Amino acid sequence: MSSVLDQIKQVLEGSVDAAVVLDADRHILYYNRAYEASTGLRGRQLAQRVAAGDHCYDVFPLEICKTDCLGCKARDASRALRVDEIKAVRGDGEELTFIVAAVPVKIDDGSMVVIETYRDVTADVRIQRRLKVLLERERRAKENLEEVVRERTQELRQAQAQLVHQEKMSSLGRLVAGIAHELNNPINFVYGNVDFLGQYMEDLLRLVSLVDGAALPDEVRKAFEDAKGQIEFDFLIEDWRKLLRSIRAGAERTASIVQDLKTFSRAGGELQEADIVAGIETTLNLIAPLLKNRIEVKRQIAPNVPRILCHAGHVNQVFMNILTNAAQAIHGEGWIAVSIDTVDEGRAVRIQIADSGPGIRQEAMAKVTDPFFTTKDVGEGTGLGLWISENIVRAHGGSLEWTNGAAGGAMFTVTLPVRALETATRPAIEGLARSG
Amino acid sequence: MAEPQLARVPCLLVVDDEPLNRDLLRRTLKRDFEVVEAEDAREALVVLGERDDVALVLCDQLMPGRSGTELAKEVRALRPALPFVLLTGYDDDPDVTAARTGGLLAAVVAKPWQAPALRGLVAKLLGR
Repeated sequence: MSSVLDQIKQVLEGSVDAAVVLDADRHILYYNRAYEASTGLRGRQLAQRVAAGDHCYDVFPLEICKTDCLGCKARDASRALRVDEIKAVRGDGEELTFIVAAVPVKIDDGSMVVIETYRDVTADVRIQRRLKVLLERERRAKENLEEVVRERTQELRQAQAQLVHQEKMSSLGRLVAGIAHELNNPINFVYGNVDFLGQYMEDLLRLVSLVDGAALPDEVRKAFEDAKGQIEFDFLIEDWRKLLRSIRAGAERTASIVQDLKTFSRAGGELQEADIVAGIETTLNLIAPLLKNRIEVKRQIAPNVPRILCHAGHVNQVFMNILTNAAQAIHGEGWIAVSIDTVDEGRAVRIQIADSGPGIRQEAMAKVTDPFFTTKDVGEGTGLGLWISENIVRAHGGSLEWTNGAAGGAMFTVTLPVRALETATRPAIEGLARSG
Repeated sequence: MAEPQLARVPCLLVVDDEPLNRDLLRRTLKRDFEVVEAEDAREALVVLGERDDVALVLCDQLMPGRSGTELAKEVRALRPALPFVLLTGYDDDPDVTAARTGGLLAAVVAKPWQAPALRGLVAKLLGR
């Protein structure tokens, strides 16, 4: 029967893994053919060095040989050990990667030897690395794709917002125009007829005074005076003109609201000269119900503010959005300060609208004109108002800026050139698309 | 004496689908003019076919059927010299602007109108 060592050699000889048998001093007792290939030494060279008693760590130095000898550990532990991905530099300088296993075995003379095997996984590791790179590349490409999808989705969302807004504004425009028209006739009835009512009253009262001044039979006089008492004739005489004035004032006020609505819903892309101060006043009239008995409007208008060439309807919409926001930001009583002056050596008009509300929160500062960004309650704001406004102002070649004022409330500054860019004639919606 | 004087009062045709507006126009103008009414363009053309003494037309712009400016076009073809006054809440309506530019309209009156101004305008157009 052959010795244990011989049996080991027999097994290892045909192994595809490089293998050595080491004695307690780490001298090489045996090596197989695969080991020869791994060391990069020619057969004779290797044989000579082994014969000369070179240690395994000199013949084939692994990165762990000096500090962390696996064979030694296996022997001390009396059990097989294994480590993955150990690097070694072959004789010809090429760096290789191995899986190293060490098995302690007791041989016939009772001494311990260690069988070390080295499986060359250099190619596997390279493939794995390459695969990792490819996977990483693919992951990045996927991320990029996701980013593109996100961007496109955002663009689509903006386009949808524009369409929704366009539809909303055009429905609103139609509604406003329709209401204005429907109110025209009823106002006309009241407004036109009130004069006739007055005339008829004058005529009747003249008739009454004729009767009153005439010599009447006592019986008739008494009935006449009784009737006057019953209808409170003296009060009637005093009150009827006041009453007519109220009716007329009501009709006039309604007529002016209708006029405002018509001005506001007026379409038309042509640039026109507009009076910014009047535009602000019109807008303030329109939002009067929001301000009423609650918010004081302070005005500081510089003298000689020039008329500006602009898309008046759109510019008014900007003021509408900012003023409405200001009014809605103020809970309870407060003020809105509007100041208008000329800047840039007379080439631009600056409109500042400040309010006594709580101001813009720091985290919201950068998002104020983002589409769909709103701090209002659900259903109260679409989050599109200031986005639209900024785009309208930009289309005019102006700027929209915001900050919190000294008093803590929000302050919006609209600067419009006296002569707007031609882009302002495009529908607001197109301006939005370009900036989105 | 009274008969010939009555005959000389000019006749105005008031066209408006809104009866209350027609009442108001009649009230405003009846002192100085004879007022005949039509509630739409179709009826107005019937009246103009029956009466050749209509001296001026006062017409609302927005009515069921043909609009005021459409009627103005037909009236121009029928009676080129007849002054046509359009009453409208929309003085910037493109149809109105086109009709005005085209010389179809003697005047455009914005709603709501004031009675004395309207009376004065009609009198002026009729050279009285």
